[in-house]
Amino acid sequence: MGKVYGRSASDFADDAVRRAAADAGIALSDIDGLLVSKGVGDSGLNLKLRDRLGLRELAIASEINSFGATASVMMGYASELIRSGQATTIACLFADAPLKEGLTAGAAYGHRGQLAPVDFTGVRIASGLTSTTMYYALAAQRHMNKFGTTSEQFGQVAVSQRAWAEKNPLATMRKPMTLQDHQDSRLVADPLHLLDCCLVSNGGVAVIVTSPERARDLRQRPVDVLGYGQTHLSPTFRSDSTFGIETGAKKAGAKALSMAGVSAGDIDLLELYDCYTYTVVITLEDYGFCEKGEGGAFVSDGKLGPGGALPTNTGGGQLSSYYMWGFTPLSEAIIQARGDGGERQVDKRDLIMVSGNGGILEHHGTTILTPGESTR
Amino acid sequence: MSFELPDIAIDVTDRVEPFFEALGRGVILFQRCKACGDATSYEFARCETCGSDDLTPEEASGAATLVTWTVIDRPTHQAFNGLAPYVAGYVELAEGPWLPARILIDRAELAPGLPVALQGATASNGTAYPAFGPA
Repeated sequence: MGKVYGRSASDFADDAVRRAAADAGIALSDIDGLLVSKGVGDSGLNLKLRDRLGLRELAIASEINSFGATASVMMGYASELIRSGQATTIACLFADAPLKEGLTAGAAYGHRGQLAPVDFTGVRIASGLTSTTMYYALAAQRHMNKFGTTSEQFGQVAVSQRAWAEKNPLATMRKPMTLQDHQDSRLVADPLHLLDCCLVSNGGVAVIVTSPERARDLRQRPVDVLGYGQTHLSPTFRSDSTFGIETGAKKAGAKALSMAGVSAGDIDLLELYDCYTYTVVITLEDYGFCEKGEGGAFVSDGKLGPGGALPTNTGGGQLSSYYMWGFTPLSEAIIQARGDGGERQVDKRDLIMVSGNGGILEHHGTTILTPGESTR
Repeated sequence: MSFELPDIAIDVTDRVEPFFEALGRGVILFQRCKACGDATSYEFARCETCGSDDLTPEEASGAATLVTWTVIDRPTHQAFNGLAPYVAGYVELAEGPWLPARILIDRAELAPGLPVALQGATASNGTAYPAFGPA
């Protein structure tokens, strides 16, 4: 994952599913469900992947797209499909290859300005709102306006995550980062600095979902899905708007916690979708780890970092490790639950809360995981 | 701070034509819902409160404030090359609806709730679009 060139999204996806099956100790032919999430960089990936994998008959096969919320959304669907008996073993995957050698990350991902300038889309483009980062900047600035959140507080999220990334051999960015480094990094869209923004990465991740009974007998210690929820919320565009202030995380998180029969205070570790540092702050608020508006102050003591009170994005997240949409937080949660975190392993990991966020804070998915029982 | 406008044409479809036509006269239109009475921006085909499409145009007073903004030092759209730094943001009409807009105000003067006033902006094909300066 990361700056890996010369391979397509389908190549990454094929590789990820094969590796995940081998890791789980199942044959490829045991897979009877395929849920595919593709990024926006390389659109070549589709359900034809089944032919490369030699999966001639599948009970379930779909592309699913809730943007950055897809991984968490998929975990819910896969769990339901297995529970209802529609499938027994589902491979959920993400792969993308937006990076091309010699092109900047911005050039790889700068699609928004290419929309046709018609009506208000035209107004937005002519006004200069021509990238996703600019829209997140508007959201972050509104949070700052309303609650007094500061750029330094956003920066602390980046610093804490970089400290985790230093311990992750797969992370793209492992050089130590200070708050001053964050403040000195160029403004991509004020108030968001370069170090507030996620990376752009090539790669793939696959997760195998099966029944608890089956998982117990496989090679790896299983990870149980305790709860999930999704909420898709588009705020109004007028004085009653919650834009930048509250997201679908509030309801999706509550649904997942309720299903798991736990509360936010019980959670040991968090893997939060971090397209921007700001996204982590607002998700912490919406999940109820702190009061609304206090997210900035909440993260400013470094509690998200190694040794902190609330370990969060323990692999470095998408800010410092790799941008695999919701599969970055999901895969790190699984690594931690299994105890495979190496130097970054968190001791207390009974309850892990995972988030996915897509669009401009429009789609949210939550998954709650716990280390499962193994007979091996 | 650049207050120059980019070379971008804005095509307009029938439903929102009244908004752009009024803007050319310096008047901001929004929509009033005949079903529930709430205000909705022309950006949307249906009332943001009740979903009705029985909406009637209404002239805004022109009073407006700044909600949020971003300052762009490095444009991502080629039409803005040479026009940076520039400001874009969301403006709230006194009647409630928001507008996406170019903001013609210096970085140091930007503040939440800042009163702003419409300043005409014109796309390269003659379409008027909202830009706001200090009130």
